[in-house]
Parts: sequence; C-alpha cells; structure tokens
Amino acid sequence: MMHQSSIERILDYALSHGGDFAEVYVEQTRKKRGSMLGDKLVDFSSGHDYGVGIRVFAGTEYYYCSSEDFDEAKLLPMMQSLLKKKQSHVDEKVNLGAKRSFDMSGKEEPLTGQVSLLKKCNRAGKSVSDIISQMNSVLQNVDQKVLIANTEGIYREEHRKKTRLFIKAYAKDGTETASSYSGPGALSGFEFYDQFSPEECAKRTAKEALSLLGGIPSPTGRMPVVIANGFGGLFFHEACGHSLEASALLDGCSEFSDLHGKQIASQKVTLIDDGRIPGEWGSSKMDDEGTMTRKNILIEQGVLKGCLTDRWNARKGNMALTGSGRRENYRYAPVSRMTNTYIAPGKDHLEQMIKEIDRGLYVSSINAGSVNPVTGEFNFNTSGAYMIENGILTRPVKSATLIGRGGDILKNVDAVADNFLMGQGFCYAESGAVFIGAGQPSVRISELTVGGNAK
Amino acid sequence: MIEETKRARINRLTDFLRKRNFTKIQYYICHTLSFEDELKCGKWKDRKIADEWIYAVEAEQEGKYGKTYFTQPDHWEEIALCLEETAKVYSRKYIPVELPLKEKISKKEKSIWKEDGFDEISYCLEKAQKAAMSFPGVLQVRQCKYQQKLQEIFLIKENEAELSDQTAYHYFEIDVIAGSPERKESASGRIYGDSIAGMDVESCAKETAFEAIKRIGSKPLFSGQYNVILFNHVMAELVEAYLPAFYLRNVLDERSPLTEKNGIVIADRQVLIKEDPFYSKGAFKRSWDDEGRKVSKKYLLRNGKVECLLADRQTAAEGKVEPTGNGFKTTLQSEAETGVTNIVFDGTNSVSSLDSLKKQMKHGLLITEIDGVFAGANWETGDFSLIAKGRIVDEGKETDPFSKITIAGNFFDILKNNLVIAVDHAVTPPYLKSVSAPSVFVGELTVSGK
Repeated sequence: MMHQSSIERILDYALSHGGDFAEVYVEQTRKKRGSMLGDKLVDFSSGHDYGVGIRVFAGTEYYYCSSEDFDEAKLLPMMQSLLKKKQSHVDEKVNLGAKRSFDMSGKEEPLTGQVSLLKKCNRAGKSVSDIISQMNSVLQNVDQKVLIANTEGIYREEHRKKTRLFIKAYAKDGTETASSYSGPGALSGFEFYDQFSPEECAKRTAKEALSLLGGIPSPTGRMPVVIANGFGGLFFHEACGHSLEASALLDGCSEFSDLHGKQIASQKVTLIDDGRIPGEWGSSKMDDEGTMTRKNILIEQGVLKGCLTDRWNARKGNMALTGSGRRENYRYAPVSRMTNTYIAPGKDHLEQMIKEIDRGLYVSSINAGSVNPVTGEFNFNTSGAYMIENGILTRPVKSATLIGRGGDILKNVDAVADNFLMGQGFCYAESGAVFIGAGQPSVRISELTVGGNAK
Repeated sequence: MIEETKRARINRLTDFLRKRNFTKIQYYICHTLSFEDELKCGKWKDRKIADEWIYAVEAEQEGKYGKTYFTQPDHWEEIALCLEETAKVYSRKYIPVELPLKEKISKKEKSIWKEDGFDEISYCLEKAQKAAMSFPGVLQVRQCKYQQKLQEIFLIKENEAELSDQTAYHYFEIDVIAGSPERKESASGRIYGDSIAGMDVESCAKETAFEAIKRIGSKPLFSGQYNVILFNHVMAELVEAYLPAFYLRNVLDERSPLTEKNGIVIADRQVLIKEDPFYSKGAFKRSWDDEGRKVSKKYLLRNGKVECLLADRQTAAEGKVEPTGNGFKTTLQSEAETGVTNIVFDGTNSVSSLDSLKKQMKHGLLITEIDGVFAGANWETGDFSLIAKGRIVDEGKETDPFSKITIAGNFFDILKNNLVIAVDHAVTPPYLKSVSAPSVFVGELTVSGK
C-alpha cells in the first residue's frame, strides 16, 4: 500500500504546518459488477480503484485532499496549497509503531461462475409465470483494503469483502405492469450464496411482482400504516436515523438537537445502530477513521440515548467516538453515517396488528426515501403495498408516497411485532454511497400521510 | 493534450497489452481537478482539493471484447487479467470508438477554468453568510459552499490518435435555517458562474434566507385537486427525472412510454425540450461525447412530437441508426451509455415572469420545493408522487405557506396540457444532469395532505 515512513512524513508535515490532528487513509479496492437482463449480460464492470485521502484539523478549520497518486512529491504540494499560511512548532515526530491488521477470508468466484449465478436467477424468476416479462439481476463484489494512520497513534488496516445480489422482476399483463425487487448482501465472499438459494429468492421476487398486478392508484390522506419486516427498516433509517448523525445534530441543525434524555418516541421504539453484526452488509471491524465499530443504542424505549459521531463532529460537540465515521472511498472525507440500523423486536403480532385496522395500508417493500434532517420531513416511495380493509389485506396498491416528520412518526408507533428481519441497501449522503443494513420487525404507525394518484 | 509522463505510461501499458494479443486498444482517461470551500454554522471551515486521474481501457482479444478501469496504469498484469476475464464473459458485440487516425484534436477553450484565490472565496462566503443572517427569523446558515470542478477527458486510440475535451463549472450553494428551535424551516439556493467574482452570492443568500422565512408556520393542506405552478428549479428537477424516456435504449427495450409514438403528437405544440451543449448557463461544456462523437444541438420534443431519441454507439448499432453524440459515462468506472450535456425546457409562447403565471392561475399552489424524485418519479410510466412545499396563491398573490403534502400526477399528461411557461430559468445542481427549466403553470395535480 503506502510505506510507513511516507505516511509519517505526511503526518509530520501536517503537524508542523498548523495542524493539531492529521490522518492518512489509503485504499485499494477491486470491484466487479455484472448486470444481466434475461439471458443477456448487458453490463460488466471490473477494475481497481486505488488512492489516498489526507485530512488535517486545525482548530475550527478542516482540510482534505485526495489523489490516486501515492507519491509524496504529489501529495505534499497539495497539502502545502491547503495549509499555506500556517506554521507551527512541533517537538516530536510522529512514530506510528506496529500496525494492527484485520483480515478476512472469503471465496473468490471466477467471472464465469458469477455470470452463471445471474443466469440461474433470471431463468428461475422467468419460470414462475409467462406474465413475468423480464428479470434483471445484478451481482456486485467488492474487495477492499484500507489502511488508516493518524497523529493519535492509530495505525490499522482492514481487509473487507462484500457481495450483493440484486434481483428485479417485471410482470406485464396486457397494459398492466408491476415490479418487485430483493437485494440480499453480506460482508462475505462468494460463499454467501451457499447459505440460501438465490433461485428461490428470484422466484419469490417474481411472485411478489405478480401479486402487485392490478394495483389500484394509491389512496391519499392520513391513515394507519403497517410496514413489513426487513428492509422496511429503511423507513426509520430515513425518518430519524440521519437526524441522529452528529453531522446533522450539532449546531441546532436537526429536529432532535438538544433533546438528549428526552422522550422522543413511543415506548415501543428502541433504535439501534450496530456496525459489529457478524457478516452483515453494513459491518466492518473498524470505521473509515480507524475507530473500532460498536453497537450504539440511539433510542431506548422512546428516550433519546445517543447519536452517531465522526472525529470532526465529535471534536465540535465534545462527544465520544462511536465508530461511525464512514466514506464511499478515498475521494470523500468521512462523516458520521449509519451502519446496520434497526428497530429492536417487540412483543406484538403482525396478524393482530393488521386485524385491528379498518382502513389502512400495508407496505411490503420500500423503494427509496430521503429526509431533511433540519425539519425532520421525510418521504418514501413504496415498491409494494396493499390496502388493509376491515382487518385483512385486499388490493395491491401502486406506488404510494409516505411522508411526515420524523419526530411525529416516532410517537405514532403503536405496535412492534416479534418477526425481526434485516435487509441490505445503499445510503447516499455527504461522504458518498455506503453499504447499509436496515432492519426491523413489522411496525404499525397509527397515522401517516399517504400520497398517490387516486383522485 | 495529455501530459507527456502520463502518455508515456499509457504507451508502455499498450505495448504490454499487445504482447498479450490485445488489439484495437483504446483508452478513456479523465483528470479531475476540484476545489471546495465551505463555511458551516458560522464558524467551521472545510476546505477540500482533489487532483486525480482515472483510466478505462477497452480492447479485443481473439475477437472478444474486454474492458476494465484503473487508477494505476503501471499495474500491467492486473489490468491485463481484468481485460482477459471480461473478454471471456462479455457477449456484447464490440463497437470500437471511431477516432480520427493519426490526428490529435484538442478543444481550445480559453476561459473554461479560472482558479479563484482562497482568500477571495473565503471573503465571498463570509459576505454571503452575513447577508443571510441579517434577516430577522434566520437561525443559522447551515452551510455556505463554493465548488470549482474541472474535468479533462482524453480518448486515446492505441499509440496514435488522441482527442481531448474539457468541462468545468463554478457553483455556489447555501442552506438557510429559519423559524424557532422547536420548529425549523429550511431553504436552499444555488447559482453557477465563471468564477466567484462574477457570481452574485449575496443576492442568492438573501433570496434563500427570504424563502426560508416565508416557510415559517407552514401547515399541510386538505387533500384534493389543485391548480399548480411548479417553480423553476422544481420543474428542472422533474424534467431531469424523465429524460430516460427519450433514450433510444429504453424505446428498444419497450420500457419508455414513448415507444411506438413516432409521429404522434404527445405534447402541447408550444413545448420545447432541447439539448444544447453550448448553453451558457449550463453546467456542461463538452464538444465531444465520451465515445469521441461530436455533440450537437438537437430537439428532443418540438411541435408536440418527439424529434430525436438519444443514442450512444452501442444502442445506435442495435437500433441501426447513427449515434447522436450522447455516449457518456455515468460514473468514471462505468461504460459509456446514453447521457446528455445541457437540456433546456422552454415554450414558444412563454410569458414574461412568475408573477404572470400567478395572475393567470389566480387560485392554486406555487410549489417551491420537492423531494423524493429519485424514487417517486417513474420515467417508465410518467407517474410521480413527491413530497412538496410552497405557498398558496389566492387572487394571483402568494399567501400562506404549506408543507408535508404530496403532489401526484403524470409528467407526460402534464405536457399535453395547455401550459403557461415563464422565462425565469434555473439549472439543476451538479449532482444531477444539467437541466434548465422555467416556472410552469401545469394545470391540476392531486394533493395529499390532511
């Protein structure tokens, strides 16, 4: 990767030019991504992305530079242009000492095997019915090595392997269309696909797409909503998770600012972020600042207990580190981000939760969403939903939009089931796209605004 | 032209690949130079610079097409292995990029890149922040950011022909928080320019602060059908979401709602959607696409009909048409697929201003912000359902603010309406495709609220 002596010289330079903290992040990442539409490989990208990011803190100022070039002759002038007016006297040189390494093994699969998996998934999904018009499967494998060193003595490297299969099924009956997706992934090599049947996963996805045909336009107005277990957890990831990242929370920039210790949710809600869950998609041994990851309880029985920090925001807010500093790659400076975020299981039962609703919505899968952490306003789009009428699931619903304010919604959670499941996806924010787990048991919200095209 | 040391590394890699029986070797190389200065919450200063090169190579081996991307051109073995591996599985017919042989073409651009001084930028950001904070009711300027980005693109065919191009922008953005600690409202504003000196960041800051203040006290509306004006940057975001409907790829795959709509009137005749690579207010300034084809000004929609479907070289070959100079990489690591330079939405019978639209509408809603376009706008069907905020319009004048509603409709149905289009164009932010659109009175949309 990069020689220890080079790293130490860069850190020394930072400290002798006004910095009171500095960090070097070195990355070597290999990615393979294949996308198959039916039996046709429509896209395949494979390559390596190696580079370095250097960060310096100087009081209330923060500097970051990045390049694919590891040569000090390139990096030091970049630092000089950032820190040019600063000088400081430093007595001791940085001495990093022994490096701590976290390795992982994981099965490599040749491209032909990966293409074969995609074909099998598509054929399995297509075999469910003639009405399945198309299957699109995407396989992504990431092999990443990171090395992090800083002026506080952290000198650690980690080898991470991740894999994810994304399957989308399209159903078409005359002019009616519907689609569904699933996206299992893990901190793992290719052996992940020995733990379950990708073909059965493809068939389930296709069946879900079929069940959504004949969907009615989404109802509009306020109503009770039950959100399915698994990736339905994205709901809370957006509705309150981002607002509990220190980058939003500090300086009054979040709806939950200054509410530590207060009841911000119903007692049924315990929200946890855990970057240490073995093998989980959002997991790693250390974050992208070299801090060991850990389980962070954010909300406990409705009381705000904690938030997620990174080094810069922890310094600003005088807070402890939570192992949450993350970034997509060396081009980005790290920022506090979620890892695997979930609502803890409750004691209610899904069947009863639905039975108690006269008119409402059951959301079987969420497409994507976003939030404004300042106001707490969030929005989601559903990829699978059904009407609840007189206590039973009835008609499928096309593309509903769920909106609200995080703080209001948390208080309206009136049932949390016991059927916990974890889902996998991506989160796009200030430090790029990061792998995230989002999970929950089925959750009922007593009242939520639902938007759609129904007149 | 690409600098000599980089060119020499590429030449050595080419020689190595030739020994591994690769032919028709060509490179796409991107050099990005970016600078960002940010002031957060009045006192925290972030400054970032990046100077990086990324390479992609495609080549043929025994009649099969391989491709890979990399940042280290000296890692010959690794690059060759990736090429060989992809050549084994990629079934796509190889369409080589056609560059002029033995010729070096360089875009001459005198004023595309101005490196602003750090002190000048810091001074302008502080001035903008002060301007925003001067409004009573403003709590905080969450961020005040200035970004410059230059991208130089080089297409190199083996050791011979070379084509170079570049695009750059200077961009300012401000987020303002107003209201009370218990109930905050926020607004964002943005402008592009040729350098910070030429950008009126203070006016942008004041307009944004004023918009944030106007949102204080916003409440949901009753659900129902309402007449709607989409403010300029809202309309630009919406148009951006539906561009894939105009890609030939999606018509061939029968995913676009414009499939089999050749020659059919699909929109009101005054609506114009055009691509203009030379649009002075756009964020893109390219002369060539990422496949070495000249870009060109063209109409996607004119006189109510689709005039041009956009195609990269691969799609054009499948559709048996000429590429339209729209082959762009969505990310530096991906293959070129259909993309755009600058899109402009316009009307042939435009009215002068947003105030004219309000007077024509009389009663309805002015939507000043939307969110959730990424998931809530479906280009395959034209449907959208998005969270929105704005102000009620009564007797042609803005009154109370609203928020926490959704607006829903169909983009292609909107195009058929008798639209009233202003000329107050705004451009989307740099993380989206460059689309410029004015405010438009679109007719009735479905609102979901209380």
